[in-house]
Amino acid sequence: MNLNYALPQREDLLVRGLLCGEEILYCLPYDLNERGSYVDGYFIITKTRIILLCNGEIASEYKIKAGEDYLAEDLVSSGRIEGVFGGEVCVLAYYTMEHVPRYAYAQRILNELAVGEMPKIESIDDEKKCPKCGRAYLKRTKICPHCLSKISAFGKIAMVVKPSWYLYVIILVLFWCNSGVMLYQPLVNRYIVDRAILPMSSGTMPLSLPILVFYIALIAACNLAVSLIGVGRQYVTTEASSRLARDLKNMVYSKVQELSISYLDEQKTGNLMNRISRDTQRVQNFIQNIASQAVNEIFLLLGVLIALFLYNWKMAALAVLPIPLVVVFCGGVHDRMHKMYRNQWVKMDKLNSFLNDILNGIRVVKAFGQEERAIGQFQDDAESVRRLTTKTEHFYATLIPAIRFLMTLGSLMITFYGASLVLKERLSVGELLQFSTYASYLYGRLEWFSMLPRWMSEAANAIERIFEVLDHEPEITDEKNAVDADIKGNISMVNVTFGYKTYQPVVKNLSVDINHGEMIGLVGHSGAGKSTVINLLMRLYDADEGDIFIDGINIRNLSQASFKSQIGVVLQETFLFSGTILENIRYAKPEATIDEVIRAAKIANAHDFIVSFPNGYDTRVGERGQRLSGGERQRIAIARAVLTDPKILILDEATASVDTETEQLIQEALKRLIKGRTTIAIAHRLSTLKNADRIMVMDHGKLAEFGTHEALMQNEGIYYTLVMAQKKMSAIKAL
Amino acid sequence: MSPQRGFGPPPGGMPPGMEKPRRKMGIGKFTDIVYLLPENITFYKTKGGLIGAKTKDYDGRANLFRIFPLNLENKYISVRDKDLTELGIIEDMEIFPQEQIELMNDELNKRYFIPKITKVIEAKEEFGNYFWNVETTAGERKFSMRDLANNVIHKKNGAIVLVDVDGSRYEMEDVYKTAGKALKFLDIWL
Repeated sequence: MNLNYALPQREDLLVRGLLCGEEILYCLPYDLNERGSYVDGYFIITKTRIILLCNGEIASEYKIKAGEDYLAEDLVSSGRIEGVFGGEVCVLAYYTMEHVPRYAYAQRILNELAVGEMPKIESIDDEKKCPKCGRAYLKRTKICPHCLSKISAFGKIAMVVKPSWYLYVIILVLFWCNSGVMLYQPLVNRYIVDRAILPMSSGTMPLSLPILVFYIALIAACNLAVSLIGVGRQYVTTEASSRLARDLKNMVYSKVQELSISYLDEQKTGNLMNRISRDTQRVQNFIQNIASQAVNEIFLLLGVLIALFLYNWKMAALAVLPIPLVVVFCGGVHDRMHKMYRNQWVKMDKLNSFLNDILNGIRVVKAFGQEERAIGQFQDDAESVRRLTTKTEHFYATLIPAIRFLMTLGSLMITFYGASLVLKERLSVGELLQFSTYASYLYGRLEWFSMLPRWMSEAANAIERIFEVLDHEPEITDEKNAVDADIKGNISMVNVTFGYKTYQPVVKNLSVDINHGEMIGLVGHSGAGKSTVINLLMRLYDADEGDIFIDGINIRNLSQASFKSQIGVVLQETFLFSGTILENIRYAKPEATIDEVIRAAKIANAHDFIVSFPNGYDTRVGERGQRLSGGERQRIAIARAVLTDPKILILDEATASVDTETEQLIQEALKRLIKGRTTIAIAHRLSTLKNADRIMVMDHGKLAEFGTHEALMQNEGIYYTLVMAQKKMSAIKAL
Repeated sequence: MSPQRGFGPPPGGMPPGMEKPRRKMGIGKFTDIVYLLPENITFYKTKGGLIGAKTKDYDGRANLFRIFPLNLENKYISVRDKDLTELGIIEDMEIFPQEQIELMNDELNKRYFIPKITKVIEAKEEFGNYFWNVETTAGERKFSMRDLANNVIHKKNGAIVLVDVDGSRYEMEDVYKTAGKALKFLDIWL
């Protein structure tokens, strides 16, 4: 992100004159004044001064050291930077949300300069907008939609079908054959009419019976050939399109697995599911039924046009007369069709996401007696899908007859002109029949092509949505030289700063060393940054500043697969997959033996209750493990963590949602589990951290205290206050 | 989202303006709602150009928040001290003298800076991004939007609020009259 904009020439001269050689360290734009109007301003920072330029004039100047406590305050839809001058808070500048991240840096810069330090602050954030045209980049990309060299959606699909190219060549050959046979048939019909049915009118010799039989057999052979080619074509296109659908499904699914948590957090599950299943199905249908047919139709259309013009160019000209009208008409409605289908899809997506939400949370809906409301909401959404679908279909239903009508005009003209030639005996009836058949082929193709915008719109939307996922770059990727390493579990965090929005750090300048085998308790008020520390340690996110080392190796240089296979996690809300208990325990290590599974279950205090189930380890846990109690699910999760023999263990409120008796069982299990492993445990109930070697106390993203329980109690800081508060609460509860 | 995807609070965090450590939100001493009346609070302009408030127990910088910023703009104003501890709530600004209302509005309009779109000069969709060039009550502005489903907010009075990719907001009072070309892609969200 640019923190040092170049000033326009005039302003540059003006400022240089004022600065007398002093260097501009940072120069940020600001675009609002205190009256709430947009302005063209610059916020210039030198070593000693702040200079504000507004609409080409110097607006104000401040001495940095005269102020203190500089703050970039986010308002709801704008921001302001202020400082305390002579004990009074003064606003220096207002800006829109576009510049909020820049002024978060400016705050740090000014506070460092105010205390006489020389800031070395550089932004690691990317610009969100194209420097050429100012438009926003496409989400999570550096692609400007305006400046993009436009690769069509169908071009992208061509890349995916490449491995099965030979199947498409076979399809093409079959289509050529099909078109050839179809074009030949009217010629045979003409011979039969002119020579057998109406020989006198055409002035030709009547056919002998064997020749007639030959022609009839020829028609039968043509029909048979068309049918056989059709069967062959269907086989090959089905094979090709199902391969394509499989590849697309695999690509989207793999991409979803690769994408970072931050992207997945923004997506609705139903929406992603649609892309993997429904959109890929739609593309398959398009390739199987439409795209292949389109090739056939194009060949036939060209063949028919050539045949018509070779035969009688005047009649051919009449036949093609409606084509420009149809093309203009279809072109005109294409955009509207595209929009209507996209809107329909958006509403369908909303409906599916809602359904997904409600079905996942059905227990909450029922517990609060909100069934009626859920039904009402669903009905509203379903109604709006119905409205849009009806609107689209009505439009479509009007479009097709209109096109048909346009094409009948051409047909009428051919009939009139052809019949007049027959009457003048300049054309035989057979020839007119042959010509009319070709013309009907032509109109059939045109009608088919008139429907193409609808099919293409549907498929293009599906393809766009699939590639929206495929084109995303995961934020956390393996470095080129990433290594697989067997880790011991020494953790070192050096000056780590991180924010979900980089300009709002949640963890600030955190430095801590943890030895392997140590158990560390992580405590602090909610929002203090505990979970974020764990997210960073698990490399669900990368730190914005600073580094995390595992056994001296930078976490970024460890391959994710290898690193994550050596981490075990037990969360407050345990997620079990639909399947048996055995499958769930084996989840992270599918090759584990039965012995290993039982031993893990025993360590987790789970073996006894599992055995008591009628189906033992083969008990199905239900979706998300709903058939088990919270404590049971938790212990299975512990067994799952034990099985991988993790070197680093993360416990996030592992016993927060269970009763005291179960908690004891789980605590016992955890005690066995953490032995010899580096353990980081978040707990609100501080008594659960009695086994911790050291306690990390987080406060507003910073490491406030770090030491043993005894040392921290003696210190009488935040930890002491938390412990005393909980003791008081326990005493009250005991009453 | 499943709980295994991540831990802790979502990236969004607290509403803007309420997450700064220096202005940490304090825990109110009482759970009762304290309604502020003209006789127990007076607003004034500070030397630094901000709004100050004087009550029986407090005299200093004030921070004003709309509790229902979309639909009850002039009612239920949360008044907070410099540390963002709530001093009380103004149920209806209208009961205050005009000069006090102006002071409050001046501060609120800065916090909730939402210019009104008066004319759409250009609006087009490009690969899922929506580019706008508009005239607003604050001047001409170009901005980009994404994901209209989540960034077109409806107000109860029929107006809509557009949120651009940076989080800046723009209000359109009479959509059908003002939106022009933008109706092409906007109508589905109306």
